[in-house]
Amino acid sequence: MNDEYLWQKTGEDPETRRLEDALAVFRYREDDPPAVPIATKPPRTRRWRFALAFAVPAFAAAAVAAVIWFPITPPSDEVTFIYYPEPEIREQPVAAPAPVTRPSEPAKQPVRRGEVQPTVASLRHRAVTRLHPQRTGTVALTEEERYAYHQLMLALSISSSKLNIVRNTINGVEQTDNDTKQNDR
Amino acid sequence: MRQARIYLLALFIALPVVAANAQDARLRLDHLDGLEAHARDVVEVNIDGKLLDLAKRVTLKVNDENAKKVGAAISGLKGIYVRVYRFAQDNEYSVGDVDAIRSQLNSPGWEKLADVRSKKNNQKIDVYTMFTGDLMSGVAVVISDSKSIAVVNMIGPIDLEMLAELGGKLSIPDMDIDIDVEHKSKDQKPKDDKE
Repeated sequence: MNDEYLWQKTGEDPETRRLEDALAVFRYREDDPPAVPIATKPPRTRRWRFALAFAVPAFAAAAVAAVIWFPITPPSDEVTFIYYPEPEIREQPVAAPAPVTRPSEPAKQPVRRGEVQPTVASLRHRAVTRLHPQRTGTVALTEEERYAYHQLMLALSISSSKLNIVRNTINGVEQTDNDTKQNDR
Repeated sequence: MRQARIYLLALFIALPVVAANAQDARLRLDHLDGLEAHARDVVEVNIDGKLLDLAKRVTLKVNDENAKKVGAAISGLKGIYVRVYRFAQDNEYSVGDVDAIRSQLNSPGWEKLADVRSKKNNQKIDVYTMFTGDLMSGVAVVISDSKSIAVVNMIGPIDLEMLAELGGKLSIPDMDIDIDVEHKSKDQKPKDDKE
């Protein structure tokens, strides 16, 4: 083997020349891509993975927004107390509900029989309000807070009623006196 | 030094007197408990101490202007005691039971604010107030007729005008428990309810 022909391509070396001719089919050509004997499949683009990559964060964001907008009430002793600005109490009463009792004490049967009873209209109003609570008027109260508030409102309502009776009676007496004086004249 | 001792001594003497005076505004209503068995309707409300404090906090917690008015009106209140007894028949209760309450109001400290006597239904209305200095320390309202007894005893300062005006607003129902419909039609004009 002639090294000069092998490395420098000078001179003659028939053996090397023969090998060159045999391997000429694999010679690099600038224009044509090399022929690859192994058949290859075109790569598949997995589009569903892109869709999933967007869908998962979108669903998570929607879930977080839903939890923030509709807060989940924890399963504790807390109850949601709806605040009613003007309850209706002057209509025909329905069946008497169970009286509100202090949670730690046993129920006292004969007491509060004359308590204000809810009417059909007020119960309906409460049901509607519970179904569609207004964020401005809804306050979460514990059972004891609810009881205390109910007792206070009951006491104040009766006190207010009695004061109004006193005022109306006094006004009525004064009116009668004035009428009597005018008739005498 | 000697003057300071005298002041301290006077303070120790004065404090229990003031405290006792404030406590005097509470009426003894225990003897009315026996009426429960005879009455057709009974309302008994005792609210004071921690329960009242809790209720006051709720009035401030509720996001409503009128609730805050109530909270302001009762901010200094120390207790409310209510008894309402309504009977099916006339004269089912002893007059002595009511007179026992009225006799308590004759004790020093109570001042008569209103006294109405009507022969119709034997109605009697008494309103008394108690003051400690310039500050109201108690109110008592006793209303009785032939079929009902109502006693309201409030301890501590309270704006009575505001309380009367708030009737029917908020969760304070505007109710007349002890007025029968037949009495109402005879004795009162229909407009009186809302006035």
